[in-house]
This record gives sequence, structure tokens and C-alpha cells, in this order.
Amino acid sequence: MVEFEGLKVQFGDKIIFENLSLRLKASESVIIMGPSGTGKSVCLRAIVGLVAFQSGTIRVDEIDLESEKDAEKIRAICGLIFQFPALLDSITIQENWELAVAASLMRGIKPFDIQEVLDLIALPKAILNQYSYELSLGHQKMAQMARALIGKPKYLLLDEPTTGLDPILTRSVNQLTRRLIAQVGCGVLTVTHDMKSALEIGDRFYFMEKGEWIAQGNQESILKSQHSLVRVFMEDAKIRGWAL
Amino acid sequence: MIRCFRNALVDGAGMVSLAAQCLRLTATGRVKPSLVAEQIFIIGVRSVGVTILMGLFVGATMAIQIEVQLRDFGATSFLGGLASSVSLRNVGPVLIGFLLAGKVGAYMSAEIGAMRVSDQIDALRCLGVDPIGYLVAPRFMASLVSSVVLLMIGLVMTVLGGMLMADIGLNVNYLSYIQRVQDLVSVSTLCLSVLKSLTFGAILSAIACYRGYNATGGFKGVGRAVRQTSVEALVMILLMDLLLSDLWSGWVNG
Repeated sequence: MVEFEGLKVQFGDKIIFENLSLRLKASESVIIMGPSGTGKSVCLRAIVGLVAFQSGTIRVDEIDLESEKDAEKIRAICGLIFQFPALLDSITIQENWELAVAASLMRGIKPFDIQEVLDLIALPKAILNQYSYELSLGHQKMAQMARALIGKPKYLLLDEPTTGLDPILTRSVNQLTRRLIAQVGCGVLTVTHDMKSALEIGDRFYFMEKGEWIAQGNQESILKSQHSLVRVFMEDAKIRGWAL
Repeated sequence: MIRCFRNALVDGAGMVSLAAQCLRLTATGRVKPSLVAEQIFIIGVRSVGVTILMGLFVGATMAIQIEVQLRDFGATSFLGGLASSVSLRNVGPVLIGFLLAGKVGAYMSAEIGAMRVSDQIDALRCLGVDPIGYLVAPRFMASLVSSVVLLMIGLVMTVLGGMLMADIGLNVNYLSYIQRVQDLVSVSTLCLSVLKSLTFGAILSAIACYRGYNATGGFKGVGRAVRQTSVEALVMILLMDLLLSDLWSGWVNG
């Protein structure tokens, strides 16, 4: 289980959020939504130790995040997909993936091989010899997701996985996420603004505003929420064809 | 003022620490030689042409300037020795160091900085790859090796440039030029050249890698890192040139 309790993150004098708690179980999909700049992505980065927290606790499968060593153990079971595809652009996609394979072996994990990953994410083989900057944003995001999956993470942290994608790729990402949850048993924590996708893949929802949860619950309770911010996101989903 | 001084100390310590980490990782075999070789090609081999050109220009300019002075004393036969000595001891390493600061230093800090601000370095950490071992150390080692080799090539070219200028434009026969080089350029001069080359290469690599690795604030931050690398490398090269020249002359003269 991924859980944080009473978490506070501060950059200089600016408090990003405080006293924030959340739990994510295996085979569960939890969504964090909210306006830009409220600290949603910071939550994900804090879980894998890329951002320091001032107080509270972060625990992933009995590992308490207290040092860089703990962070490294957590990163071995939590794959983070960045908002902007962070593929190394000096090497090809295949080399990016091979790097992940080698790193997984170093961690003592038997990784997916390149062909398995290609099958899993249904990307054309031709992308293997291309550099990230030669790919569309959608393919870059998929390639990044594939790289994170190579190490068979138990939990996936997705930072706006469908932002900037066309409807076809958005559907592919959502289907892949559902498949990972159902077949692989991954726990998926997604930060997104895309309410329609969130409703397609989410089991539980957290709405964040100014560093606080302003609404949370399962799909049913969120659909009934009268909070103005939640309604704004719902309207967006409605426009995009979600039957509310 | 105190804050500036404190920041300079922190940055200086950071650079030394990063350089030491890169050397340690290399010494313990945790840096792939193929990555270093690839970077040597990108950083070093592609800079050979401009270094040769720069060395020839510096040597030719030194020959012209010194010949003007020597002509008044009727001592143009000493041109080869004096021009080469000055080029090898001081002007050559400094000017070629400047060139490398602009070319190699700026390139490295921009590349590593762009990786930092586009989350590539954090992504590597998430994968379990040590970004220092994978990205920084190969570039540091490649830059160190390349800088030293390029500086040496540049220095040879300064002698050659001076000799060509003397022979073609200043009526000083190239054989007599070379003869005087042998007379006036001592082993001590060559050692000082090599020492300066090594020092400038190490300083340049440490500054470029540190500034790139610690770039913050998006692509504006990358620009800032490149600017800091260029300015700090130039200042440090001049400072170390002064210190090494002073220490060396004190040591050689007893």
C-alpha cells in the first residue's frame, strides 16, 4: 500500500500543502484532480523521494521514507510517469528501454523484455530506433510509460498521462491503465485534469484546491458532489461525452 | 557581500565534491568506458579543428608582436625561443582554455542543464540509474581528457603558427626559429604547460558539470547555467594561471 499521512511540503517560505493524507492499495486506481498549481504533482514526486517533505509520513509497503536509501527502495516498486515525457533524448527509444532493463536487473528484478513491452503498450516497432524528439507527444508519453513498466512496478504514479493526447491515444492509455490494474494488479495513482478519463479509470477520487482535499470519495459520491470545483470538472466531462 | 561570498564557497565546495565523485566512480569502474569514449568523440574530436586554427592564430600573432620588439634590439634570431616560450607558458594555455570554456564548457552545462530541467535526471533516478555515474561522470572525464589533449594540440599549433609566420612573413628562417625553440624552451616550460592544461581542463569540467547539474528554473535556468559556466571558467582560468605562474617561477628559481 502507498500511503502518506499529515504530509507537509514547503518550497522556501511557500507552503505547497500540509496535513495531507491519502492511501492507494494494490489493484486500485486513485485519482487526484484539481486546478493547476495546487501541488498535485508534488504529491507524486514526494512519494518517490524527488521532493523533500517537512512533516508527516510516507510509507510504501512497509518502507518508511526517511532517507535516500528508502527512496531508492520505493522507486523500485513505484514507477513515476512524468507530465512531460522525460526520455533521454541523446539515445534512441530502444536504448532508453534497455537502460531500464539493465537498471531493473541491477535491482534484482526480472524485467519485461523489449518485445513484451511493445506488445503490452501496442506501439509500432519502428519507434525503437527513433529518438524521443522524433516522436509525437503521444508516442513519447507511451514510450515513457513503457520504460516505467519494464521494471514491473507494483504501483504506478501517473502525472497527467492523457494531457495533450488525441482521443485515440487517450483511449489507449486508459485501456492500458485498466489492464495494468486488472491483469497485473498494479495500484495506480493518477494526477489529471481530464475528468472523462478519470471517470473511466478511477475507483476513488481526491479533489485538491489550495493544498487541501476539498472533496473525496468513490465515483458515486463524486458524481453527486455539489462542490463548485467538482461540478466544473464534471461539466467538462459532460461536454466530452460522459453520460452523467 | 557576505551572502555572495557564502554562495561562492558553497558552489566551490559543490564543484570539488562533484569532481571528486566523478573521479571516484571512474576509479571504481562504475563509469562505462564506452560512454566516456562517446563523449570524447562529441566533445573532443569535434573540437580539434577549431583548436588547431586557434593555436595557429595565437602562435602567428605572438611571433608578429615579439618580432616588433626584438627588431629594435637586432635580436630577431631569438624570435623562435621567445615567442614559443611565451605561448607555451602563458598565452597559449589561457587562450585555448578560453576557447574550450566557450565551446566545451557551454555545451556540457547546456546539455546537462536541459536534462535537469526536463526531468530526465529525475527519471533516471526513478529507474534506479545513478545520474552522476551515467550522465555526469562520463562527460566530466571526457571533458577532462579532451581539454588536456586539445590544449596540448593547441600548444603545438602555437609553435607551428609562430614558425610559419616567422618564415613566411618575418624573414626568419624556420630552421633558425626551431633552433631557438630548443635553446629557450626548457623542460620546465613544457611541464608548466602540461600542468596548466590539466588544471584548466579540470576546472572547466567541474564548473560545467556542476552548473548544468544544478540548473533550476526551466530553460531560463539553463541559460543562466551556461552564462555562469562561461564567466566562472574564464575567471578561474585567469586566476589559476596567475597562481600557477607565480608558484612555478618561485619553485624553479629556488
